[in-house]
Amino acid sequence: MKKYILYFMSFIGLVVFASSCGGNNGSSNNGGSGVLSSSMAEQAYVAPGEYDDFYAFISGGFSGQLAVYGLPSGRLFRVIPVFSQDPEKGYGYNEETKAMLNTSYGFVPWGDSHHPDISQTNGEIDGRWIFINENNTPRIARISLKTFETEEIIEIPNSAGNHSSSFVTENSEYVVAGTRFSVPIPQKDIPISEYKGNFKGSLSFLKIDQEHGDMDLSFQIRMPGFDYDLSHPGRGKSHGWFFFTTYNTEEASTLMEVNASQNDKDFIAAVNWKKAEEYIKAGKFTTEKVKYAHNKWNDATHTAKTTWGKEVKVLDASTLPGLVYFMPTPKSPHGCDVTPDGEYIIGSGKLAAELTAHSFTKMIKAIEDKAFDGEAYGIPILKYDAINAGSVKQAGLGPLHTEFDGKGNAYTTFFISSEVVKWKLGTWEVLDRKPVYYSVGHLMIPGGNSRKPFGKYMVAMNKITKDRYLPTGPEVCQSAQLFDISGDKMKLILDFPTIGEPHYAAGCPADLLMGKTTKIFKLEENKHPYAALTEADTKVVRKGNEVHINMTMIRSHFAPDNIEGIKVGDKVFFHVTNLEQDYDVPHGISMIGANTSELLIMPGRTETFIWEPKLVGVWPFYCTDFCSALHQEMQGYVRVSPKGSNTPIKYTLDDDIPGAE
Amino acid sequence: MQIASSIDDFSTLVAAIKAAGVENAVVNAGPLTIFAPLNSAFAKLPKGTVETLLKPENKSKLAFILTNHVAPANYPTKQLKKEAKKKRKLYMASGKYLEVVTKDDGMYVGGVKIIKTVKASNGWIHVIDDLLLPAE
Repeated sequence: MKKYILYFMSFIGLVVFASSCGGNNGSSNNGGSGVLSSSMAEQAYVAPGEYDDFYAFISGGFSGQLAVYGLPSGRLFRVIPVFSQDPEKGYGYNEETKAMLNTSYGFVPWGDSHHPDISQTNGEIDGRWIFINENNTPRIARISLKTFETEEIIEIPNSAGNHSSSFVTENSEYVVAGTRFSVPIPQKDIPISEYKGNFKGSLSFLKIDQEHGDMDLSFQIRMPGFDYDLSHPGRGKSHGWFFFTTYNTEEASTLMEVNASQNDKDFIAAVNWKKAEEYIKAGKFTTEKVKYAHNKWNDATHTAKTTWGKEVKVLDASTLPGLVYFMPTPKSPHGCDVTPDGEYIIGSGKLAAELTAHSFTKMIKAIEDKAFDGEAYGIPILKYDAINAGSVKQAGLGPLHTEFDGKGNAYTTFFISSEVVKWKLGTWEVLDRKPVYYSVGHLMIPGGNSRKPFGKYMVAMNKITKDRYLPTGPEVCQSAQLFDISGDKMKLILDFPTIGEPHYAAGCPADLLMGKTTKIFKLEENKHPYAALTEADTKVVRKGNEVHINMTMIRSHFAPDNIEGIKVGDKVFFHVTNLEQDYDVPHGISMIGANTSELLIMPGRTETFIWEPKLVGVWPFYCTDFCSALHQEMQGYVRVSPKGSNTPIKYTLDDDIPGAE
Repeated sequence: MQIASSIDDFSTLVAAIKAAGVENAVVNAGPLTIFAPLNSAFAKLPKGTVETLLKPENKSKLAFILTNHVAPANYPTKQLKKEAKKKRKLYMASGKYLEVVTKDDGMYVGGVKIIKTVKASNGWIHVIDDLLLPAE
């Protein structure tokens, strides 16, 4: 009990200290005291053996991955490798997944993952797939929510800084990707000072196959050379439209922090994608030569394959009437969020002191009335007063992103004043504000980007933690903070560290996914060309200096586990099949001297690593995943003879050819 | 364990596993090979023996006997034949070893005949009609 009190007191000390560092004392009614009451702690407590209510998929930012957490506990369940190699899982290292990281620039081992978005049906999240964009080498990935594995990555041509991505339309017709940086299209060798008029932006629409989820680059819309920052689909009444914030309408190319902040207003681009479909059908596009990688995982062969896209259909926003309209929005708007009913488009000018809400209904009327305030590169600029529905005054400093609770309220993050502000749609009044620690970017309410948010929890994702946790040298974690938003006031109930940068997240109720996750891969469905489906199928075959070992693993041995006839200079392929057909019985394998990662192989799956022995001797391999009581016995040897020697190929288990009676 | 619980013929074994507190050991990841005595095997013991063993004060003795029926490894029939051929003993969870012999009428482990074999998700169950009692 004594220890508990001590701990309790130091906790109070920490909270007081932290909020005094936050610099928000004047602008907030402190949320810190609430977390200390035991009932708060209980709200985030999920007892051992119990399940969380929600899945949260929080991107890892510069880690390139997507992490899966439970809410309200904040427990980390899995890091899904997407755009970066992951030696823990062999992703991007084994022969099967290397192709997932192919791009037109060659093999890229790293990515910057940003905005996960769950597929939708009728405007509600349906739990089929989750999409996520890569910012640096423009790509979109699709992850299966059955296997929690990356199944497809498509590169976006004519794009640079793939930031206003990867948001899906309300029936998952398209996943949409806008370019942040404008560049010369096609790329060419010109002075950077010739930016204006020569640099262009691209908004890409990728059609989603409704059965398998496969993405297809349907068309791009060629846009003026602004920066396209964030985007969201219309829904309900505004279904068929897509909204993109822009900044740098100044078309500057240097010292952007100053030069891209000169205009009082930039734009939200309203794109009529149903109109775009009509134009495509009517042949009003040009076909441009491009090259982009399209990497697809095959569930039967357990192998990814790259195909190369060679052209793209392009619609020119400057010459095709009715395709795009610009909505003036103050101060370099960043977040672009659409209310669950599809009526309001919220623009967050990142240098503004207020939030701007545009009305979709007013926008349609303004278009009908031709209430234009000039044009930019042939694209009509709608009159601000004709489309504006209102603004949230004095909400905070540096608004970034807004999500909705489905009960008529909106929640906006403020980076500079480091807080989340709750406000009311329609009346635009501020209802509550809570500090966050510190400098929040996105926030997430499960289902927040849909017609049906689940307004129970809100996660704020912070870029800076400073003194929030035990220090770990100069590099400290970033964090997520969990609020209970079921009442009138937001209540901070938990904060937890995240992997990489918790850039953005998507969430859904646990029961949407937990009943349908894959448990094992069936051996009878394994069509990997080098699979050994029984121990009797194992073999070692030499083809010149390549040696292919079709190996199996089962508790607690490899078959074969003694291999001879390998020579220095050989390229040895270990094709290893996990014969287990029981849930949660993975095995791993690694070989001394292999210049790659381990393999971590789920039941029924086949994976391959390459080993190029450089030294004569007898070299061991072993199981890297503690699989059974006799895990330490799960090992084997390979005999390596000198180059040019004639040691015959021999492979055995228990002195016999594996599977022999 | 699920398999054992679902068959009436193993009710004594199941009761004994519960009484000895080794339930978790037989549902774990495995692999495990269990030589599972039928009720009739327990019935062959002198009268009152089972009742005595099930008493709380004999918990450790019972656990020892039961773990002498469990091998922490994969021993399908094919593998057992190989062990017999190579004259290798089975290491049991009790710490003792059992001999495997192939006779004309089937496989014998620790002198007890295997009647039937069932695959379980975490290993193998060989049904026997006598207990594998350690010498002591």
